[in-house]
Amino acid sequence: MSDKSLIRILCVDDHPLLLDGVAALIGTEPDMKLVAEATSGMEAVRQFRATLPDITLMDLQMREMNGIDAIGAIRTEWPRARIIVLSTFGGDAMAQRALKAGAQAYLLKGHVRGELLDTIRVVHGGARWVQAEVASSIATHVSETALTDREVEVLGLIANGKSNKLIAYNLSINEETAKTHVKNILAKLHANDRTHAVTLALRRGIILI
Amino acid sequence: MLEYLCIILPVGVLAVAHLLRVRYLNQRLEESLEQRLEDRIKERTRIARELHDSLLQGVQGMMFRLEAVRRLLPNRLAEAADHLDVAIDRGLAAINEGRQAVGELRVAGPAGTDLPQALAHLGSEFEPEIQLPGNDRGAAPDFRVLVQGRAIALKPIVRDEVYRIAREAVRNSFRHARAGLVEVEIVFAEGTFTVRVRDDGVGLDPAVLEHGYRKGHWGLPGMRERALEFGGELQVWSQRNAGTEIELKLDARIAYVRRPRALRWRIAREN
Repeated sequence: MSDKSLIRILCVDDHPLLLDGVAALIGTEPDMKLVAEATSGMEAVRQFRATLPDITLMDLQMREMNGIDAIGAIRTEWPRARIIVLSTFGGDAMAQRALKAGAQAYLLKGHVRGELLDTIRVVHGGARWVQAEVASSIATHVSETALTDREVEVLGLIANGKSNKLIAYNLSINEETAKTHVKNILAKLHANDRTHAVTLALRRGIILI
Repeated sequence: MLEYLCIILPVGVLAVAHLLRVRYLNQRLEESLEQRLEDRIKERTRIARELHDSLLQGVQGMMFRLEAVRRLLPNRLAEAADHLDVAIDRGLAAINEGRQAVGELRVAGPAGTDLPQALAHLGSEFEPEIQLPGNDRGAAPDFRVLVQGRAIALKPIVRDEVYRIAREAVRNSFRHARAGLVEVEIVFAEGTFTVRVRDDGVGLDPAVLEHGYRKGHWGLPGMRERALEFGGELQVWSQRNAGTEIELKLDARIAYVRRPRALRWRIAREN
């Protein structure tokens, strides 16, 4: 097979054992070639520029620019880039954000038996693909009122153990406003208390750990 | 009339003082309950992050490799066997990382013991680790804990966090520094509380010193982040072949338990 017909792949993940495993799997396929690896969003953009891959496999949670921002950055510069998210998080919110940022497919690392290679070929052929589990989770929550950006910010601070006072301080708002945000967050997520809200938000991928 | 005033005035002052004190104590209680809830959330987030970073990613990586093995069978036997060998090694590495993350959780803090005493146990804890694969094997360094000043009671949360940071620093010295001596110095001073961990080992790689960290460890940026989170300041000095010193500094107001004297003073002022 000539080099031209190979699917050239960039793999982005901040965990070496994960990169290593994906590299091994791609290495078994005669029609694919791993051309570069990156361990952060920043590096992903640099490697994309250097290698212009056909397919990018993108993790979401990374230091130095997360996957969502990296997808946005890559798609802004190269609107035809084809990106498959390979995530630990099955939540509807994270998947929606990734797809909105320009990803063509969303796969869970834990449920890729046989599917990763197929998805690479399908997306390379021009299609989009979302795993059934992720799609149903999006459908479940589609009618609910989404959290505002500010509310997501507040949730992130709650997850880091910040009190209303500290949340107010961090966001330069007054404590009453912070309290109102928290109240609205609990209502929108149907959460009983702050701990419950954080648990639900992590599960749905509204915030990253 | 004057006699009445002489009686009513002191009684009134006492009553007001009592009410203020009750209000103040209630407020403190409420604050401490809220604080405990927030600490619990923070701890859960941290546990989730650690499990995600170590065990989960390692195992998922291994599953991809096993799938590669599956695709190579039955035709490409030799290649499949090679992949299996690597998969076994990677699996062991993931177990090792996970075990460390879990161990980290178990030593959440030196509950019930004082800090110098808890830190003094680290030497015997880390000695066996030197021989683990992946570490710079060698003879175990001497280890000692020095205390300067008379011990002042630390806030429990501060004591736990300081312990965790110092523990990670000592562990790094044991595992990577090839040091002859690892020393912890604890300084109880009026205005500041300081802990220094130093070794006479090989020093940090400049790249590590600047931004790098090893996977599955929270390393220097992690330590710094944690220190900042509870109002501390972390400094690192290191020179090739001259050793490494890590200093954690805390303002007295953050570090020490507020003394009851301050409470009395405050009520006296409020009256």
